[in-house]
Amino acid sequence: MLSDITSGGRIALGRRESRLLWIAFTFLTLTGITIALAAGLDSLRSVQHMVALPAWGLAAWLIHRTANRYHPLRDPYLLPIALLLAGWGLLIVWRLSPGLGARQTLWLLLGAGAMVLILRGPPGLSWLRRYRYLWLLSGILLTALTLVFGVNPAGGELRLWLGCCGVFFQPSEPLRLLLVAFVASFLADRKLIERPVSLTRDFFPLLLAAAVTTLLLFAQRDLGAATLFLAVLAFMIYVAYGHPVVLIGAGLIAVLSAAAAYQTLDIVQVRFEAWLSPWINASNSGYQIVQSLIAVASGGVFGLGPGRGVPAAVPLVQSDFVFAAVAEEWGMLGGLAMILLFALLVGRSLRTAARRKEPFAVLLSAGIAIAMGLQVILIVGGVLRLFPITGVTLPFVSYGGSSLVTSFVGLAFIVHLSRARLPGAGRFALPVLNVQILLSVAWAAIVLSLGWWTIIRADALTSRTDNLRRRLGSLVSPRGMILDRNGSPLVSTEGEAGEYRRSYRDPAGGSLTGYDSLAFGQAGIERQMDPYLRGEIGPKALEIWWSKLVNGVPPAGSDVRLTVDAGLQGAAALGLEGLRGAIVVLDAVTGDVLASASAPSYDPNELDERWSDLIVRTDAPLLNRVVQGSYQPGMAVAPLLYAWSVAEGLIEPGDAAPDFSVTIELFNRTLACSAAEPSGMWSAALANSCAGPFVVLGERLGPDGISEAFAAFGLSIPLDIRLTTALTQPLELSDDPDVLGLEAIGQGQLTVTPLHVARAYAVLAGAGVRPSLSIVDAFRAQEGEWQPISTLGTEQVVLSPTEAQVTLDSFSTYGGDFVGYEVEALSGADSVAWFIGIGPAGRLVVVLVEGAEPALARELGLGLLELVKDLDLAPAGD
Amino acid sequence: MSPELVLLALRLALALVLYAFLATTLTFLWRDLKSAALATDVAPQAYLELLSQPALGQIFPLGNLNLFGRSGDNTIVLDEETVSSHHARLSYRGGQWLLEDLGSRNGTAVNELTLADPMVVTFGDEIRLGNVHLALKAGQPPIEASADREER
Repeated sequence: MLSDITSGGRIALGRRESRLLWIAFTFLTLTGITIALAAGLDSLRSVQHMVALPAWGLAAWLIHRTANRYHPLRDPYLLPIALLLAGWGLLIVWRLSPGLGARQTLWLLLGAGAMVLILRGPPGLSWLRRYRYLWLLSGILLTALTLVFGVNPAGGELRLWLGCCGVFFQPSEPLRLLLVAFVASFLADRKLIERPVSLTRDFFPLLLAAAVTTLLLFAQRDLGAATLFLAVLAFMIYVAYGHPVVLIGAGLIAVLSAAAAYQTLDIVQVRFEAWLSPWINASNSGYQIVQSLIAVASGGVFGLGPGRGVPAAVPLVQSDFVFAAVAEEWGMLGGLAMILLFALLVGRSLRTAARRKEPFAVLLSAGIAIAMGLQVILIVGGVLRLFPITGVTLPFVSYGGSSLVTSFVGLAFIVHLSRARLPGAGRFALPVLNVQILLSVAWAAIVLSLGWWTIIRADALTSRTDNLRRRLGSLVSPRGMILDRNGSPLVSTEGEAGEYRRSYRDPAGGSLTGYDSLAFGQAGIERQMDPYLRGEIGPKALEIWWSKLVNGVPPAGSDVRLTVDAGLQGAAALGLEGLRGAIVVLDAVTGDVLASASAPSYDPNELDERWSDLIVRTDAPLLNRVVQGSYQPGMAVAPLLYAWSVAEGLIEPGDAAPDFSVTIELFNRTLACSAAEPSGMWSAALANSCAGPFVVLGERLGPDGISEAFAAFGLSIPLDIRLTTALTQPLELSDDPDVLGLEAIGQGQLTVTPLHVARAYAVLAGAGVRPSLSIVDAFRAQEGEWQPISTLGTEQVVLSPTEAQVTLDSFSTYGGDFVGYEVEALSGADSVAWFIGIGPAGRLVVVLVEGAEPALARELGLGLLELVKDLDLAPAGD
Repeated sequence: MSPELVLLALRLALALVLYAFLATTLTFLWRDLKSAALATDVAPQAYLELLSQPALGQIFPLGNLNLFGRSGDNTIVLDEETVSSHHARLSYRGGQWLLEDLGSRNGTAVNELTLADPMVVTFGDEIRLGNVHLALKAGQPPIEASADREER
């Protein structure tokens, strides 16, 4: 406005400032009300943070009035931005902890008082400039005192505070500002006397002061402060002399000293490791950064709303990680606004430096601005995993009295030196502009990484089981049921909103359904189908989005229907009682898993009481042996290789098999035919599980043949099922005949899960086709229709129906209806018994019992075949 | 209206206010930028006429930026003992003539009103630097006067 330049200009400037302050106050009031409503308005706790508003108003009014009186031509944007940030921070601290909030309110008033005093002080800040050695010494002395008398009010390892009577003070915060003032004053004197740069005269006292300070901070292991100080020093020398070589040199020194610190200081090592690979250290050294990123991601674009998130899940959220709380509750929009506010504040401060002509004013304002900018970039970048954590506070926002007061004092210096309109550029404008450009690049990087975590990586992060919010959400938003194929519930949600809990019907069903526990995370179907059960995935995407926006949690979850038959499942679990083993019942035609029992199992209802016992038991009850137990298949691979070789034309069932009487010695056991067989044909070798001929067959098939056969039956490829399965190692066979022979009798490298075996035998039971497995059949949103869930794999034709039948012809028959195959496999000194039984219509049972005779497995299997024979397997649910 | 919707409305409102703050700041900054850009306009023809000693009636044509003072590096040198070596600055910015005192010993005044801060002056105003009185006039400087100046 043209009129601003008139003598009325100062009034216009003051008006701008007060208008911005009023907008800031409106924002803070709305935030305060939102936090109060979010807490439920039923206790004092929910409204006491409103004390922050009048306190902030008082501070803002005092500062604004003083500034109007003593600095009418100041930059009118500095104060409103800084005060908005301080008020925002104050509300966050109150919201996180009312005790800390009350303290922080007092510190805010103290900071405002300090600011008023400085603003009333003489122009030019000569008092700061003239007594620079005194100021610096007192700062160093105070910090040195913490070496002896240091405490940590939070009880942590770093003792950086001086304290008495409940008030604590961190001298390294003001020390940073005093150092900036010292360096500015020192360099300004050198700049006033224009003469060639001399290393000893111009830099020796400076480098000495820098070295003492840095050593002191290192001794205190306050590495964040040390790093920050050295960076600010380098930037200030650059501004004073304008040589880019200063910055390049400082960058090199920084890299070298970082490498040295990594080698010598464990705290640096831990932080660096946590930064590089937080995910694998998510429960120890990477916990803080992972929780921080989860908090940021949980906020998404719009945030969970002030007072509605769980920022306390991030350790140190009130100080170093306060930006995580901002991003969680105010969302990406709030985080972005905060970054923009800081960028504006730093940018306006640098503008003061660029426009002033006196070296001290330039260097002081540039130093303070750069220190603030770097501090924000380091810590926000740390929270967003752009840099390792440096352990500095977020100026104006973080909890911490020393930090807040120091920030206000630094701001007072800049306001003191600022002018709303200084025409033209000062003599240091070019280096200051370059610093501004460098910082802008950093701001842009921070904004991009904020977008990365809140938009692109949000789903992956929020669905992690160590996301506390998700588990707390299941208390207020009911989780869907898990039903069997006939619609009878296996798992349901009981109780009232706010205290929903899971109820598991089958006390031995843990191994299949898994658990959903606040304390221990998730497993089994509960884990695999979590997005459906929690309501994250459903047919009405808009409804889900709305519910998450308004309530912070998805709507009531969908029910999930399994292919499992509850009765059969119960019978299988009963059969395994007291044993260690697994039973799978599979419909070989459709690939539906009809029962999947593992023993020993556990009761998910009693997880909290039994957990410590469950995780140490050597019989591994938490392991779902059906898909996670890796066993030697033994001669269970023989029928498969036989069928494959017949199909390939390698052998004929009626041909004579070699090496009939050869026995194999393994683990002090002798593997031979189960019965003397006079005919000597391949079909008899199979029927009697004769190891000798199959060793020869393995040599004939060669490494490629065996690998091909195993892959065709799916033994060496991962299970295509919605359960957490054992890792399947790829086979690498040499052409050593001994290796091939052992592989062909299932005593080599290949290990399989019972479900692998079931899927492979389904090729024989299902006329040559390997089905795609399915354990989850459909889901149903609340008040919705059942919607099918697709299988993960596809069917594969492996054999012709006749080739499959030829193999089954050699199996034992039981009661006319069933055929079966039983073997014992060795695993070191232990043995496991396998029984594979096939009934009419391709219904298949695989029984595995650890350390038992095959007869026991057969008995269990035949019992289940009897049950499954009469089971009505109409398409599930209809 | 359910509490959740009230909260949603509040959250929406506070996000809007937050961005209103940013938008207001940026608007102000934009206006500053525009007036700074205006300030680089070329000044219209104008001149100062000396109303007192050392050379009554002398004419000084004005440029965009005019520095007054006793020392030789000023654009308009006023060799008079009450004038400081760098006394005042008259600049054309945003379509106006702006007079600033540069910390002179004897002060600067416009129509006998002593300057504390920069002030806009208009044609016909009388400017006093120490004991030197000048009048701001619009238009082309009289030719003989500027020729007279070149003689000096």
